[in-house]
Amino acid sequence: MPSRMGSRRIGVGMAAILILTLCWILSPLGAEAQSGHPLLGGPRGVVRSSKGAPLEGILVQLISQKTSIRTTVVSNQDGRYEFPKLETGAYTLRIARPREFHPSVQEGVEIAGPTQLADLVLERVTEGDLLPPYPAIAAQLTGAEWLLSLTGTGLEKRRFVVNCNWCHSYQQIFRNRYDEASWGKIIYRMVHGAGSPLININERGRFSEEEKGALVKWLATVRGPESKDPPFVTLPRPQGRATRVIITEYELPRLELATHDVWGDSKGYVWYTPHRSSYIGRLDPKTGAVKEYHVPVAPGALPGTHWVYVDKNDMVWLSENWAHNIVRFDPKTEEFSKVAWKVREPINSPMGGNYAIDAEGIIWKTRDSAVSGVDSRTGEQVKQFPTKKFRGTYGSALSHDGRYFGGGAWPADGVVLADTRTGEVIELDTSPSSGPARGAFDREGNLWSGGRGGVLVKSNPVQKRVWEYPLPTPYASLYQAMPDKNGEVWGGEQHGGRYFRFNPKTEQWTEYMLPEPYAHDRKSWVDNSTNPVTVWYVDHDGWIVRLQPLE
Amino acid sequence: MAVRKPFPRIAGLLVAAVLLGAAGHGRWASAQEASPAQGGAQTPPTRPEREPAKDPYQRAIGIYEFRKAAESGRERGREIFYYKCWFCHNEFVKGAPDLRGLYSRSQLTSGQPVNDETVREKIRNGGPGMPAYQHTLSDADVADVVSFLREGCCWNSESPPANPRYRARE
Repeated sequence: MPSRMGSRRIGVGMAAILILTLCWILSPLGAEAQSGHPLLGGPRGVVRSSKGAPLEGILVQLISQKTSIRTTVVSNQDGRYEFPKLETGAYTLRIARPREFHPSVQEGVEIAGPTQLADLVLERVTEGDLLPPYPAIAAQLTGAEWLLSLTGTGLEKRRFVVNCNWCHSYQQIFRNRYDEASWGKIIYRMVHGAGSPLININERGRFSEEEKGALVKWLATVRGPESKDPPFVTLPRPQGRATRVIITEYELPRLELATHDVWGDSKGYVWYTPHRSSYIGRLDPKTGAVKEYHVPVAPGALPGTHWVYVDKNDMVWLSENWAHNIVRFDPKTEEFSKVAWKVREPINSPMGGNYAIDAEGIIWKTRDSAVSGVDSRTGEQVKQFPTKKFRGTYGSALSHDGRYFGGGAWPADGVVLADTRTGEVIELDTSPSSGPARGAFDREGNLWSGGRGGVLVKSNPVQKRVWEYPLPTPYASLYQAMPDKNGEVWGGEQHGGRYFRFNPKTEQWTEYMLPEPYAHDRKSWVDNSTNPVTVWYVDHDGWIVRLQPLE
Repeated sequence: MAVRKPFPRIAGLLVAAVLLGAAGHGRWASAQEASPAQGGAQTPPTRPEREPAKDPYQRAIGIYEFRKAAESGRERGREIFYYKCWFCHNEFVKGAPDLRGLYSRSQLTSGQPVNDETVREKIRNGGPGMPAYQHTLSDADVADVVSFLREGCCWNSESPPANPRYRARE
């Protein structure tokens, strides 16, 4: 029989349970927000519609007024969201890409620990399915949504996607109106100009006169002087697994850098390259501060770096795509050293962009109908394995054991693989307009390449075969693909405004919606030291993005 | 666009508590609203559509309108110049006129004198190798480009413009 003290204890305990239960019943959403996830524990709240329904897939963002760092989380099926722990201070609370909803912005929101934020109530712009073509909505559309919305045949849209998808967003095209003659002049420059700066003109061009004429006619029809914006079709918002992510965006000190690659060093800094200017940069993710370094300019050449790779000694390797140099930068001494890269192309035409460097300092690339190894200290070719089918590869990657080289053969449809020990070269075809480009090997020896036709391509030098996985989002394109330590593959869906994650074992795609509609990812870097992994890319439009999946 | 000032903290907590309590009711209310509509017994009330405001924090809007660096004027003109003019009019390209010092020249390649009006017309109507921008750039856009050509031209890849959003410091 319990004592009086014991009874009192039981009574107190029962009362506490009752109070806790009542609290849980009365404010279920607040209690449920305590996810306990190690990456979370920060401000939280609920998003609902003006009709009271919880909204899933809404990108809730806090922008630090001190650092400009943007942290975005996504509401779940109950409309709940939870940020990671954030530095105490004033923030701007907003919805990123509200699209079908009126925007919501609150300035000067004080954040201190797990602050419970007031409900965010969003009002739809229209009761209809398609969105009215207001400029504020047009600006938020992805390229894929533009193409879903505009008129045109499958052939017209496919021709456009295959030929116009690498250097810029579709928004940059569709915000314009030109007459047919003016579209013709623009397309001429785009088709005949070398690389993205279009400085050197090649009279032969990238595709036929007939194709060019058809492209001009379609553009003059859908974006002619009298063209009206159609009602907008939009892609679905993320659901379920795709809502479980933290996205952090970092501003860079300058505009119009045409940022290209990222890579992390051993100290936790993230390096980036600017494609058409002189300043490479090193981001400190903890503070958002960037230290810039000025790459010495080559006379007569447009400044700009393309590839960046940080080796195990924290030396930073770069390619000067227009000046035709491989650059080595020592962050300790802040000294640059350059080796001239021997290519046939004139200065200001691309020299090949990206490379793979092995443990001996040999840089690998397929160019001029051969897989070549070049000494990074001298620029002299030390290995050469001829190809029969493909003249070059856009991508360059080495397997983890250093034995195999591989690269997507864009602008051709295929993959080149080479055994650097035996010199055996394997050339594999892929489907028409798949255009495999940059990528990397996974730990099982498969090369993963992003295909510009919207296809993820796996190839294997031992099995000598390819596998293709089309993206779930129509009209999206891939520039690169990056496998992680677990074998999952990551990449930005260019023109899709989302970032994919692909599990080869289950063939499951997860598409994380990004806070801006571009996903212009030219090279991702995966930090395999974290669990789950952390993924980085720099958007070509000028900001660095970090994705931290919660699972 | 709803731009709100923060509540005092205690008031915020009270409001949050009320809202949290109400959130569950909101869901029930939503479910109750939905059923007549599903059954077709009621027509949802229509409301007038209004144009959404432009959220200045959405980078895509600044990109779409060439307003990353400035709202208007010479700095905005620089941005439009970079996207619309630089790819032909730069120091490396042969065949298109270099526009550095344009306003110190006596005439355009057409033979017309150099002034705001003739430069504006050239941008609007184009030329043998140049697109006509009259349907793409508004009068305000063209005025900003002209302002840049007159006062700040031209693009310098060695010194891209500062990002006004960047605030972090080491």
